[in-house]
Amino acid sequence: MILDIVSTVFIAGAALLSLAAGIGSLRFPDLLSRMHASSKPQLFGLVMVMFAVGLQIRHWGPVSTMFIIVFFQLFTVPVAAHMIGRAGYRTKHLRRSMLYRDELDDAVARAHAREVAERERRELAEKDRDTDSAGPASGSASGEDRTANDHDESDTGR
Amino acid sequence: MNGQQGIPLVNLDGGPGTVVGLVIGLIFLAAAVVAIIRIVKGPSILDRMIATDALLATIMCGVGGVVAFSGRTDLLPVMLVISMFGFVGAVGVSRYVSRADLRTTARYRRMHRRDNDTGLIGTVEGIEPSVPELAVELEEARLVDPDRAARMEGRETELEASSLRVYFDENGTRQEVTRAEDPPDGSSPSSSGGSSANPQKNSRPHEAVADSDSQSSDADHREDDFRGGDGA
Repeated sequence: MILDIVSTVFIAGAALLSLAAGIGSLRFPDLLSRMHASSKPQLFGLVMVMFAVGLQIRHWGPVSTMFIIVFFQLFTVPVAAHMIGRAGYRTKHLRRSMLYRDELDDAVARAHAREVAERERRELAEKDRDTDSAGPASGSASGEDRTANDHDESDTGR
Repeated sequence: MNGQQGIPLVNLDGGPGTVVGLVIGLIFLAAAVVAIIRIVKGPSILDRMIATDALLATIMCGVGGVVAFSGRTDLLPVMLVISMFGFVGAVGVSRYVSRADLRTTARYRRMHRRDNDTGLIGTVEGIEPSVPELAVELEEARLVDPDRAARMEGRETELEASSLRVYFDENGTRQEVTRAEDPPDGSSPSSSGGSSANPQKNSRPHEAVADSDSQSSDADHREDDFRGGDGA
């Protein structure tokens, strides 16, 4: 009887966490806030459900399966959240006025400045080479070089 | 099956266990419905993916509750498969998302109409299409809070001196565009209505925030953002 009540309380807690995740992902105004809200039941709710299952069914078979499920979630949920947040940052899908601090912004600005400087330097080098000894072969080579550089530019996401 | 020794809490013959089980089931159902609402209206595919994760977590917890209540241990592999689907879906979608996929609903349509009015965004090759979220924010701030709109615009005018953008067109020649002038092939701003009464001023905030953004006066707007939220 006591175990029934305890497991019922655990499952009710998981249900309330799921409801909180749903309401949070509906009501919050930003991608990152929604990530914060919706990541609650993915591990904690599942751990509570696992305790309830373990209290109800006291066999090693189902409990070990629940352990496998929880460990799988434990390894994959941070990876998925990281990739979603990274994609959101790189595609600028965040409200900057919602942030107290953007710690990645300095690094991105530095990388952008470095890249612009590199491009300027390469442009100057090409210009010098063209003025020194102009030739069609060097022109085609510089064209290939520029297309490669364009790929780099599209990869920075800035 | 060995799961039958678990005491079935819900045996649907009346009693307190039935009511508790039904209430918990209704809570799970409400959580799933709310997550589905966010999936339907989410402005970008990343929002939809996050809501999908919340929905899958809800389904996993619900299936776990069914396992604990009724002792059906054959549903445990279903939970494993659901968690694997959530991971694979999130990684795949976030790996191949691009900037063109982002805004797909009413906010995007509103913003797109505005950009057609100013004729700035996306008309010049190589200029990145700026931060439309910020543009929408400024538009909302003009409607709701004129003080905040004035502050946002003031912040942009500080940055105006350094707003010189260098890009390369398809021939590889170097082009420079300053903020004050229109892009070379920008369509003439056909003024249709009040939103494009001052196209130069409208076009400024996207771009200046795109290359350098100040965080100094951002924390002041937090409450406004929560209040102004998501509109619909």
